[in-house]
Amino acid sequence: MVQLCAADMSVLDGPQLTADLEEAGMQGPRPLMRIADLPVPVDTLPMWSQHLYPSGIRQCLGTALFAADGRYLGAINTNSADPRPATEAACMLMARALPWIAHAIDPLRTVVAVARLVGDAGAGVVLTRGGAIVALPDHALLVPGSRVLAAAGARLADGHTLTTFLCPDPGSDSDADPCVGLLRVSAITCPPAPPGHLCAVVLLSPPPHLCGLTRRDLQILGLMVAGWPMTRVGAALGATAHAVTGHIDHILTLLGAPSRQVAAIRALRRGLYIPAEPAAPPRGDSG
Amino acid sequence: MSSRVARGDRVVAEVAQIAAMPAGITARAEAVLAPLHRLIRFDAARIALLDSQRRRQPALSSHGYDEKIQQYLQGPETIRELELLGLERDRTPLRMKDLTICPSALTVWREQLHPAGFREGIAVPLVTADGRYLGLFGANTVSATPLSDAARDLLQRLAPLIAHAVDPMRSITTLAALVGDAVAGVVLTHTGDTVAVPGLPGHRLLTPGAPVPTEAATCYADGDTRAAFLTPSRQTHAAPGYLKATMLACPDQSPHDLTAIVLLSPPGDLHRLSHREMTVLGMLITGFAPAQVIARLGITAATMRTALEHARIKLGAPSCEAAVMRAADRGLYLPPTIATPR
Repeated sequence: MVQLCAADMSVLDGPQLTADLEEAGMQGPRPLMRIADLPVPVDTLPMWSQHLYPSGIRQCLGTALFAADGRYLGAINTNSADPRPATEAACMLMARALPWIAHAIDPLRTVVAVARLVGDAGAGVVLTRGGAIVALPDHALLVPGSRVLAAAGARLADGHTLTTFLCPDPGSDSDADPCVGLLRVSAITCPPAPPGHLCAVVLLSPPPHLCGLTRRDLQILGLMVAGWPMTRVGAALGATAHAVTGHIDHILTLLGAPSRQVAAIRALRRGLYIPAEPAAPPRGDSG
Repeated sequence: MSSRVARGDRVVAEVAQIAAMPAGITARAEAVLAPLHRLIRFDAARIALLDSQRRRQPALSSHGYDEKIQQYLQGPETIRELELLGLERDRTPLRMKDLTICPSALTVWREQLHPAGFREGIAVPLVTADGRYLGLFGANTVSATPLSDAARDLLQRLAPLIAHAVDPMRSITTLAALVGDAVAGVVLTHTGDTVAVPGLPGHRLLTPGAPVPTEAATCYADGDTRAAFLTPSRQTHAAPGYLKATMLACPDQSPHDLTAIVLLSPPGDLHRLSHREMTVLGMLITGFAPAQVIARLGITAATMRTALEHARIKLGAPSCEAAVMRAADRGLYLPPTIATPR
């Protein structure tokens, strides 16, 4: 058994290996490769000549791993001090196992399982640590820098693993029926798993039962959830204190809440609110 | 013979692939019937999950049975007869020809399946790799020729894979994994009982009827899809500590017997809130009026205001309303059903 030293091990995680794999033509759908199968002389690969060979390794068997939908996942590689190459039969057996190995290590599996928790989702994105986005079926609301993603990101950054709220659907401008033109946003933190760059999924789905709350009620709840004092709620909505009180009485009745505080908590836990926009509070439509 | 073995391997591979699909359990149950049909050429088949507490066995996927038979098959009479046959106990597939009793002694056969023209059938108990009985795959043929022993043995091998494909607990464990540092957890059922979460230990604070699951069930019944609150860990020999309880509503899926999961995890940053401050916050969050808080805790109005003001400063909130909101959002409070006076 050959023991790789720590330095050699860390090199295997680094960019050199990726470069060598590309050089060796191993980042496309290829059959399994032994030393003799490589399209380039093995000594020209720095990984081999500087690290693997000096530590006593004489043979390898490896290939790229692809998910069933064609996504490149990574590589599998076995090394041995025994210079005899793997037999054709062993290669064939390993080749048959490759889809299962790929499935076993596919990091998107966790993400997809998490996304499935929102059974009726129509669109979604995966947020990555770098801020980039891996699209599931995508949506205009979920482009980088959008307010929906900013609101979802703020809630998740606050330490929440699961958050839901409502947002107006720009594709629809009907105010008549509050159910029309609203979407539910669900943001879920992915459990940590290698390679560790996928941090959350944000999904859009049809709104839940709104308990009879109007669009304006949901906006007021958004401000209450954010802890705005009632005086500022009125100002933000361009409505009189009297009008706001009327809305709040309506909200308390619909949510069966004994106090404003309980109403706001229920709204938060059920995702029945449109988040306040910190920069530009929603303008009133005459109250 | 070798072609039969190869066909068996192909069916196993196909069912394994379906079991790995990200779709929901209903879609997977539907998909799994196709390779099974190639294997046994049934005229009618169903995959049903048992809701043991409500004595129902609704079908995830059903083909070839008329409405009347479907109703009967998911009802308590069928469940009772399956129990008499020992299907849940023996966990081996049973053909009509394997029955040790006369088929006409079974009401489901005499009054439902036989009159509908079926002459043979097999029932395959679905048990997961970790030993949970989920329900069954049942198939019937108009032909009286029983399924071969080889096919029955293959179905026995396939049963754990089919069980995995239709296991409702898979989405529950995904949900539970969202609370990454959970130390214990249970699933609440419609009848107020609890079921273990695979891969997570239970906890004495989570026994059925204990304050924590009761409070979580109340939050669920109020319509909340998630809630978090604190509970004293009540370790007499150690310093008084707290655990965070998180309630997450289960995805709505057949057999609809599981309502929500309750997880216990370390409390995280408590912002140095005192027991009294967390108690006052908990009463306000669960809807007590300030006057009720004063009466219940036997404190003065000034003491309550001070507690609330201290909590506001510790939570860094701009107002008392915002502080209560923040405590509710982060689960930094002791519900009145759980708080012990200190």
